[in-house]
Amino acid sequence: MRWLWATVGALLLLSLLVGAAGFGVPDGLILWQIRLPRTLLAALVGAGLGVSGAVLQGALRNPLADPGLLGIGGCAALGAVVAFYWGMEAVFAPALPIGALAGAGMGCAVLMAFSGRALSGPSLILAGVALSALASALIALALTLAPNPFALAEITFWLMGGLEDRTLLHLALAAPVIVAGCAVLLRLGVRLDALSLGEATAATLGVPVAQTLRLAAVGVALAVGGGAAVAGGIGFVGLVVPHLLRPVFGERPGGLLWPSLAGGAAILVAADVLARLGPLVLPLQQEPRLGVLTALMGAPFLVAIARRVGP
Amino acid sequence: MIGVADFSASLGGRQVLHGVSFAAEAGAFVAICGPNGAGKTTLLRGLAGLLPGGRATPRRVAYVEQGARCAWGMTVRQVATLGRVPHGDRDGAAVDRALAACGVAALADRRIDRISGGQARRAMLARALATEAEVLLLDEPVADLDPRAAHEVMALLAGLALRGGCVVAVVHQVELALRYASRMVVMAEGRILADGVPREVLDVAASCFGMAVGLAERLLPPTDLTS
Repeated sequence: MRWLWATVGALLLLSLLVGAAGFGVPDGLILWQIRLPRTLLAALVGAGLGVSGAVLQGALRNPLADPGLLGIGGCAALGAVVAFYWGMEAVFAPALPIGALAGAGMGCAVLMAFSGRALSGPSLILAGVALSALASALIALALTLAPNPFALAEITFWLMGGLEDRTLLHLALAAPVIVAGCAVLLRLGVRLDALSLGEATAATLGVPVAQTLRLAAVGVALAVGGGAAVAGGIGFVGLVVPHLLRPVFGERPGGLLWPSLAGGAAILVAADVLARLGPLVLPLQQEPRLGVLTALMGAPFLVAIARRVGP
Repeated sequence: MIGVADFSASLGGRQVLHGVSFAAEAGAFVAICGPNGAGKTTLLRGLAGLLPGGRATPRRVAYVEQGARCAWGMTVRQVATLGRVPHGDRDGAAVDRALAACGVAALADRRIDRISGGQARRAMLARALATEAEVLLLDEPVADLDPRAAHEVMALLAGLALRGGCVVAVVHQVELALRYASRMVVMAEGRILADGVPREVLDVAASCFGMAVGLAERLLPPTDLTS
């Protein structure tokens, strides 16, 4: 565990030293206004995605579970699209993350309503899939009706995820939400361990199964919704991180929460550093999108895992 | 110690238990026998407080479901330690005792998905024992065990009952129930047909399982035949 935190620390430091101008210690204003918010946001968003993935895989006893499964990211995107749609973002800059946060919050409420009172793993997954489909449909609707001809390009760009030009304001908006979500999720360890024996057995061990799933969904909504509000759509981190860590930390779900938090932070900070290095070392006009990079990095990992799983 | 009175239950609109009354005391090893669909599992789930309206009593009753398995490749010790969840601790001594009682202490650090099915079943039993509950409810604890392992597990359960525990187990192998259980309950179609000392309810059990009575007699352990 210590080496993992050391890796996170080293990556944070590296992230502060890399920018559009190249390597080196930047002047105070750049460090404080540009590099620091961006670095901390990458770490926070990644931590939220990592721990969300670990909790969902544990709660649903499914190694394929991903925070995107619950549709919260889609709802955040919908909120952002609505902010774009009415041009609110042009008038009032924080309208975008605030709209996305509101979308994530509404998504969470709808998810709870969809999944009903007798919550179980399958009902949560089905409710999430329904919510995802609804959010995608409404985003598509908003895009086709968008009055602003540039909206389509801007929204598409935002949906690919990224952390450039984020400010301390973005950090102030997202950090409390993500931290609250992680705090909820990190407390579920023992319950997730018990759930690995199935929902019935967990109930006989005194674990309130429906309440645990509800807390997991709310925690994921906060941790992922807060992240999506400032970073857009970033996939694969929540799915891949627990898989990377299981061979090292064992498969007990509760034992993976803190490592996945740190691992998610490390991976997203590393991906963001790579995004900034892109134009420096390659003939690129601009940074590759962060969501594109995490998917590019995540897919080979998944292929490797798939080959190892076997029949 | 544990029981239900005039207990009915429905699954998906079909009534599977019709006013069943059942109670088990400390020191009893009750084998519940009967054909598939008799309502054995539903009765056990009702005793465990898992049916609608029921309430689990985690420290008092430990339950191992049919075909119990762990979703992740946790170690045998980690699985057994889950038995301490109702107590909110990780009492290593209680876990060690449970692992030793089930004969899986040597496997404590092996992954439960990398040991044999019989060993994994005993690890699940160790998880239930680690709770140190008064009542053990086990759904087919010896299914898919080889004969020797099945005898070992049944002997272990009989020993627990002798030391004052209360064990209620669904058992399909009538010969094992005859040899080890102190009491046999025969169920069919959601009702209890017979309940008593295994030898005495044997005929009912035999007819339920479709065996000729004479054949069932031969299943009696030799000591019982001479008495």
